[in-house]
Amino acid sequence: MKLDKGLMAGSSTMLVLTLLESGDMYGYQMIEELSRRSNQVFQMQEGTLYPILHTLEKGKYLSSYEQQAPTGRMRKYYKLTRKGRELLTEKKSEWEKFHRGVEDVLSGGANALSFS
Amino acid sequence: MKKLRFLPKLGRGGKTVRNLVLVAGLALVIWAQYGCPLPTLEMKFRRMERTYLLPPSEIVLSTGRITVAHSHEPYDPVPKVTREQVLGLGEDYAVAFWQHSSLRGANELVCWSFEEQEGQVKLAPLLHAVSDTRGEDWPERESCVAVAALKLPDGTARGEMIVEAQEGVYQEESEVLEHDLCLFAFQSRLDAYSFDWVQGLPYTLRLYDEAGKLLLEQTGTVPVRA
Amino acid sequence: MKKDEKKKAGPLHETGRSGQGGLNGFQWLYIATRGIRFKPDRAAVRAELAAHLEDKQADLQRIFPEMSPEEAERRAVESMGDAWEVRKQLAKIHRPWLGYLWRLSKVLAVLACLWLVGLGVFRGDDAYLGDNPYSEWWDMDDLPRTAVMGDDDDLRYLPGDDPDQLLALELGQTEHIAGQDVSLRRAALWQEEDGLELYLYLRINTWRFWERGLLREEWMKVTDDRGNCYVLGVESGKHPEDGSLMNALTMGGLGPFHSGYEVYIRNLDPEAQWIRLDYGPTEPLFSFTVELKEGEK
Repeated sequence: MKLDKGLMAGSSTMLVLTLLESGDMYGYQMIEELSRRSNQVFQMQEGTLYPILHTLEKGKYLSSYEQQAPTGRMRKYYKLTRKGRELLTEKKSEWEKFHRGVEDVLSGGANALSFS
Repeated sequence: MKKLRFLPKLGRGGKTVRNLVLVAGLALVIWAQYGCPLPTLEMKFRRMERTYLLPPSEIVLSTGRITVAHSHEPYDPVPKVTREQVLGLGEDYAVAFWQHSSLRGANELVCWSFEEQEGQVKLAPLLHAVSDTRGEDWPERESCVAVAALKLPDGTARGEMIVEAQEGVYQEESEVLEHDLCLFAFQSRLDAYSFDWVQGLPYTLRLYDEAGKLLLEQTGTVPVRA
Repeated sequence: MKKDEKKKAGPLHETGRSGQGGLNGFQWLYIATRGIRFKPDRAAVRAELAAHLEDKQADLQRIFPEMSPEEAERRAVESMGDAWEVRKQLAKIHRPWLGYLWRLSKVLAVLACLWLVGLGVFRGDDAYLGDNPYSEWWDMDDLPRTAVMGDDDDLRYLPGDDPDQLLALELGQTEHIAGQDVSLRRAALWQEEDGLELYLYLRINTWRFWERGLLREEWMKVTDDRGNCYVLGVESGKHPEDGSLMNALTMGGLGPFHSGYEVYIRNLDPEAQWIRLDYGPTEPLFSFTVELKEGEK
């Protein structure tokens, strides 16, 4: 399925996939975990999490199942698929390159090869 | 606890496909229940040929749907019957096919072998009315028997056919139609209820060219359906 | 969803797009999911989002015990973000077409079943094969099926100990014509009081069930090496024993993908070494020859 370009380009996809790497989670749980891990730096608009999750599920990067919560309500849990793991790896390496590139620029090009 | 699954779990897409496949299968069964109707006359004709193991012949006449009356009485209100006819020309035979549009699956194929016919021109009676092909001046309720004359000599422009019945002589004329044939439509005899009254009767056929010169005169007996 | 519509809807017209402050949980969910046109999908997404809202609200009330439920709800809704933005994104993802197609496929399947029930197919009123006494789904045994359900007919073709059975051959000569497979399956030769009787079983196969092959008796010509020409049908005369036709071509089975025929000749020339079937209106469409060597079974 054709994904929204903004969706894929943004790091939110990578964050969501990373969260699920450590285990199956449901939506609210992901928001909490994201906030906890980033020490409250990442506090995304919670509603926009779900379009990301649904998009990834449609693309077969995630699968889902329902489980009853202690409160009695049904919760939809998301799980990373093999295809999703591959995407995550890809996203991570992309991020690495980007991250290194930014760092190099910030460090004044100290690591860059010099051409004279 | 994992549930045992004997069939793969289908998502909505899979279920849709499964349903549609099922519908297709059921549609085939429904189609078969109605006698496997086909949309066009030509398809029906070809199917009939294949059913009888015949190679495809050249279609020389196709009448389309025509409504005819069974009875020859002009004032007798009779139910109208719709028929479609096709005449195909094979190597040494002609096949006439008509479809009874009102009866499910009722259709018939008659084969006229040329082997038994002497003479250059071969005849193939069409045992049901073909008034439509003769143009609009044929009243709809007139039923007639038509005899097609095939394998005409080159240059034939029109022809006339005379059939001798017990009570008298019937003569009809015809222009040469598309696919090189003449169609002689004999009106039904007053005392004949069957459409095959023309079978087995002696005939004389004369063919003329554009200028009116006689090209061929042929006599013989109108073939009888085997 | 068009921007004008929000002005008409009941609970929404007080709040503009920019002023989210007035939305309660129900309203937020309504706006956010309204873009999903297929109802079951919408309900499922709504439930998921509603669960999230409730969790958030419960959490807030847990952390701030003096907060009122309404305040907690308002804050929860606020943290969810712009309902219209979410609506746009969800609408793009949850396209209704597959849902509509699925519904259609269910309706069609039910209709088709009802139609068949109406035609009486499940009752057994199968118009396709139905009342036909020759009908069988498939020619399992490679034997003709006869209207008279006597076992004798079948055994005729099978090799046995009866001394009167001179030949029982399993043939397989096949010709492929007009998309059909015409095959001479079996032959049996019997010595009867009045003479030699020959039985042949032919079958026509095609997967195109709408044009099963048919044979016409008048097109079947049977000859032998002695120059005899055996007439089939009424003109062959009657058998002295039971008054049935001497020689004929009869139906011997009918199914969706096959039709079977029997040819029987009951005044066969005793000196005949082989017989030949030629079938066609003029030139033969197919021919089969059967050797009649006595003593072979």
